[in-house]
Amino acid sequence: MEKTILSFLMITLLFVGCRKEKFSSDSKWLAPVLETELTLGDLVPDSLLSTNYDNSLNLVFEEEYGITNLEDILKIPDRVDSLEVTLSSLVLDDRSFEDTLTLGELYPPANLLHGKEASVPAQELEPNESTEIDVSEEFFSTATFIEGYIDITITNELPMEAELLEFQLINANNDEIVITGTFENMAPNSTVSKSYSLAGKTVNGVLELKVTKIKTKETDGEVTIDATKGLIVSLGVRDLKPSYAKAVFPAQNLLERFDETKYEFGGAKLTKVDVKSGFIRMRVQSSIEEAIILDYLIPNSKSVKGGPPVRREWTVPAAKPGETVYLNEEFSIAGSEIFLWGETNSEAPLTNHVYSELIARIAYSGIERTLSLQDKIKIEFGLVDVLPNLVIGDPGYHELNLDDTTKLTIFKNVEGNLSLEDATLEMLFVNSFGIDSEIDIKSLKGVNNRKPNTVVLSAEQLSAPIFLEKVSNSSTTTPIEKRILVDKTNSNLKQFLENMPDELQAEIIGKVRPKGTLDLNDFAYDISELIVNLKIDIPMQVGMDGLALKSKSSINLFANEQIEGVKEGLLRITAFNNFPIQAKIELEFLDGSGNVLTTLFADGNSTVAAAEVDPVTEKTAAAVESSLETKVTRPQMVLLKNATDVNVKITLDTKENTRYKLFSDYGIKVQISTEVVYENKF
Amino acid sequence: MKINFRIFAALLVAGSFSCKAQLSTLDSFTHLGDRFDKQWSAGTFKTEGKTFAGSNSLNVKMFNDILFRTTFSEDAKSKFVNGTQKRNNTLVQSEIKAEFKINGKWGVYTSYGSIDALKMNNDFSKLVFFGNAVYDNQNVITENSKYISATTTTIGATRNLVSSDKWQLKAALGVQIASRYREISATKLGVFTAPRGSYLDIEADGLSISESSSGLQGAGLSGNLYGSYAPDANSSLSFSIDNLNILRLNNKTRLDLDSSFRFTGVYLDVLNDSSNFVDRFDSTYNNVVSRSRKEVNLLSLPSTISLSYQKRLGKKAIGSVSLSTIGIGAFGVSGNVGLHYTFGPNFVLFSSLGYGNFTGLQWREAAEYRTGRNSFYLSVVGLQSLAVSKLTNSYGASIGYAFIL
Repeated sequence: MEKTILSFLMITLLFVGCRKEKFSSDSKWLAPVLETELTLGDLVPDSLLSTNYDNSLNLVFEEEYGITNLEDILKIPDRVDSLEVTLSSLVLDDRSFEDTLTLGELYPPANLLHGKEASVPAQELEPNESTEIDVSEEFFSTATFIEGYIDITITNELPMEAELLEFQLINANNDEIVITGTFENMAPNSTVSKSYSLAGKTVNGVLELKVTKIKTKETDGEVTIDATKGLIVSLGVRDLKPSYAKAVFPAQNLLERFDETKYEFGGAKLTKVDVKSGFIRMRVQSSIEEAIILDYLIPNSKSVKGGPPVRREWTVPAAKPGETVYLNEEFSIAGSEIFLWGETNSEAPLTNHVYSELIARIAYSGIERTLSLQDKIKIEFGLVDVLPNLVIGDPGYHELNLDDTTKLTIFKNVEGNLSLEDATLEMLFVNSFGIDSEIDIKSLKGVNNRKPNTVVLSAEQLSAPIFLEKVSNSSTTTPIEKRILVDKTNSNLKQFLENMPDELQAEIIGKVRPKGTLDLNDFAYDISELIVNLKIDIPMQVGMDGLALKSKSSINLFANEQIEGVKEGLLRITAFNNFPIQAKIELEFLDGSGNVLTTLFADGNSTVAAAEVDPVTEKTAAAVESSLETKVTRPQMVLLKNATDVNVKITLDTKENTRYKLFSDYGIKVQISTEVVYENKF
Repeated sequence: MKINFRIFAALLVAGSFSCKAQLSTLDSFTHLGDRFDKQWSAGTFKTEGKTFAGSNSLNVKMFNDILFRTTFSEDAKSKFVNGTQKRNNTLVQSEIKAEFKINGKWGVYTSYGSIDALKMNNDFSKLVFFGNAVYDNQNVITENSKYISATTTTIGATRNLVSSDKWQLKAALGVQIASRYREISATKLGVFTAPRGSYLDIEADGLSISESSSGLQGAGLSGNLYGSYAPDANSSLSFSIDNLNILRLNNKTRLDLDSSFRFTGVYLDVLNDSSNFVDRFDSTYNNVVSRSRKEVNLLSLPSTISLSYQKRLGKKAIGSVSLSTIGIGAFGVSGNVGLHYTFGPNFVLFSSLGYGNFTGLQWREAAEYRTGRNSFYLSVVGLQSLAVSKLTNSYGASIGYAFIL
C-alpha cells in the first residue's frame, strides 16, 4: 500500500505543482517619460548674459589679469632673534653690621674693677679667640664676588690708646680667612676705618672675627673703669657684584638689549608699515631660580593709531633648582603702526629698520634665591606673520609676469561655424597703488583646441604699454583708470571670437615704479590693485551654420529591473521651439571602451524646426511644434542595455546662416514619450 | 447564450460542488460518495489533488500557453483581445489535501492550496495584460475590481460531530500559513491615454494594494464544516464551508489611494540634474505612496461555500444539483446539474454540466473505482476544451486515492 500511496502522491504533486517556467508576454505601452524646458538662460550661465531693454540678449564675458594682492610685490619676512645669554650682572644691596669688643673681654680683671678708679697697665695679648658674626639675614647666606668691599670701622671707647689690633675675618663654615687686617694707634674715643676688597672671595653669611693680637698702652694714671665699653667694630658691605650668591636679591635688570633689526623687502625701502595682522613672538627657556619679567618695547610704533607704542610684558616663572621653565606666546599686533626708521628718524638708517628694546629683570620677592652669572636664559623674539594693510616708502622696481590661460567653457563642446553681427572688447586698466605702474599686453590669443586654430587679437591701441600714474597721496582711495575700446572697426575682434576659442591665453607684463624714481612717499594698501579687466560683449545676434553642441554623459538606463523588461520601442520627442534656430539631434551610445554600439535619430526624422522670425519685430511670433521619432529595434535595445555612455550631438543652423537676435523669452519645450514593447515575465 | 445566473441559482436551491452523494447506493464510494466520513474508521486514509483554471473571458488556449509555451499564441491572444465580454472574471485554483482517521471520532488533515483570482472590466484587463497602446486617445475604466493571489498550507484535526442515518456533521480546525499573498481592489480605476501617449490621466477611487514580499506572509486558523441531512432514503441535502480562515499578517502594509492626476512625464532639469530617470520618478512619487501606506494586521482569504441536493432517479442513477460560491460571490458563483450512475458495487461515473461567472460553461466527467480496500478517483472538467481550446474558457482535473479498512 505504501508504494501505491507514494506513487499517487508523486503523480498528484506533478499534476498540481508542475508549471512551466519562463513564460512571458509582451505588452505595448504608450507613456510620457520626461519633460523639460530650455531657455538660453539654462544653456548659458546667468552671469554671462545681460538683457537689453528690448529683451534681446548679450553674452558678456569678463576676465581680469593683474596684481590684486600687495604680497605680489612686497612680503614682510619673519624676523626672529635668538639669544642665549648668561646674566650680565647681579647686585646685592649695601648693608652694615656693628659689634663691640668690650674692655671686660680684652682685660678680664676690669670686670672686678668696674666702676672703680684704677689704672690699667699696658696690655699685649694674643687671645686667638673668635667672636661669631652672623650676617646671613642682613647680607647673604653665601656669595662669591666679582667686585665689592667690606668696610671695617673701629671706634675706640677704651680709656687707653689701642696701640695695635690685628684681626681676621673667617668664614665660619670652612675657616677660610676672608680678611686679615691691622689697626694701629687708636687714641681713646677715636674712630678708624679701613676698606677691604672682596673681589674673588667667597664669603659666608656666618663669619668669625678673630683678634689675633691686641696691644694697649697703660692708662694715664687712674681712670674710672667701665668694663662694658671697648672697641666698637662696624662691618659694612658695599658695591657688591657677586658672580654667585644665595641671598634675597633686590629688583634689578638681568639683561638689556636695545637693537635695530634690519628687514629686507626685496628692494623696497619702507618707512612705515600699518599692520593688518601679525604677532610678536616670545619664546623663553629659563633655568633661573627667580621669576623673570620680560619687557619688549618697540618705541617707534603705535599699538593703535594715535595710541602708545607697542609694548608687552611677560613673566617667566622661577625655575626649580636644576629645571628649566618655558614660555611660548605670540602677541597680536594687528592694527598697530610700526615706523621703520630705526632708533631715530634724524639720522640713518631711515628705512627698513625696526628699533626694539628687550629687558629681562627680576623684582624684589623677599625670598632667598640662588643666582649665578652662569644661569642661562634663552629667548626667541621678533615679529612674525606680519601682513600689512598699508606700507609707506619706496616699493622698488618690480616687473611681474601676469601671463594666464583661461578656459572658456562656453565654446568647449561647440563645433562648426558661428557668425557674429558685432562684438566689443572693453579694456579697463586700473591702478590703485600709490606707485607709478605700467601694464604691457604683449599678446592675447584665442585658442580653439578642437580645430585646432589660434587667432591673435590684433589692435593698434595695444601696441604700446599703458602707463598708469600713482594714486595721489591726497586722495588715496581714488584709483587711476584708463579705458580702451576694441571692436570690429579697429581690430580683428570678430574673427577672434568667431574662432570660438576654448582657451584665452594672455601674455601680460606688469611693471611697478617703471621709471625708477626713488620716492619714500609711495604707498600701497593691501587692497591696492594693478589690473586690466577685459570685458567681451557679444550681442546675441548670431548666425549658425552647422554649429554643433556635443556632450558625453554616462548613462545607466537599464539598471532598474522594471526598465529591463523593455524589449523595443519608439522614442518620440515633441518639441515646441521659438528659437529661430533649427536643431538636429543625434545620439550615439557607447560601450565602456568608447565603441559606438548604436545610434538613435540618425535617420531623417531628427530635426526640430526653427521658428519663423517676424521681419518687423525681428522676433519669432510663436513656437513651432516638431515631432521627432526614432525606432529602437530589439537588437538596438540589447545594445542599449550594454551602453555606458551617450554622445549627444545637437547641430544648430539658422536659415541661410542669417544672423538673428536672441531674446530672453525664447525657449524650447521638450517632451519625450515612448511607445515600448514590455516583456511581462510570469 | 446569456444566462441570468441568479435565477438559475435560485432554481437549483442546493447542490454539491464535489457531488458527494449521500444516498445508500453510494455508501461504498469514497470520492464520489461519503464512505470515508460516514464510516470514520481508524487507519483509513484519503488524498485528493485538484486544479482548475477558468474564466469568462480568457480562453483555455491561453492557459495552455502559460503551461506549455513561452508566450501566448497569437490566435488565443487575438480571441481574448477581440472578445466582447464586459467583464473579465478569472479563477485559477489548485489544492492537494490528505486526511487520516485516527479513531472513530478524530482525524488529522493537511492541505496545500493556491488561488489566483481576478475580476475587472474586460478592456481594463486587456490594458493590464497587453498595454495601453491600443487604447490611444481612449479612457479605460474598471469598477469594483479585485485581484487576489495567495498560497496557503494548513495542518489540523478533523472531528466527527454527528453521524446517524439522517444527520451527519463533520468539522475541521487547523493552523494555516500563508506563504504568498497579494491583493488589489479598487472601486474605480481609470486610465486615459492621450494621443501618442503625450500624457496619462489616472483616476483611482478606493484603490487598495496589499503588497507582496518574499517569505512568510502570515499565519492563523482555518476551519472546515460539512453537514448533511437525509430526510428519506431517496434524497439528501448537504452543505460545506471550506477554508473559513483568519490570518495575522507579518509586517504587511496596504496602499490606499483616492486620487486622480495627469502624468506628463518626469520634469527634468537636463543641465543640472544628474539622477537617472527611475530615481527621479521614485523621488517624485515615493512621498505620495508613503503617505498612503497603512499597516495591515488581519486578513481573511476567500472561503468556499457549497450547497447540494441529491435525488434518486432510479436503481443505479442519482441526480444532483449544486451551487457553490468563492469569497461569498466575490470570486465566483457556479451551479451544476449532475448524474451519478453506478456500474456494479465497484465503479461509479458522475457526469455534470454547469455554469459559473468565473468559469463559464463546465462539463465534468468523474469516475471512481474501488478494488478491495483501495479506491481510485479521476475527474476532468472542460472536456470540450481538448477539442476547441480557443473557444472554451475553463478546464481542470482532480485525482484521488483512498485506503479504506
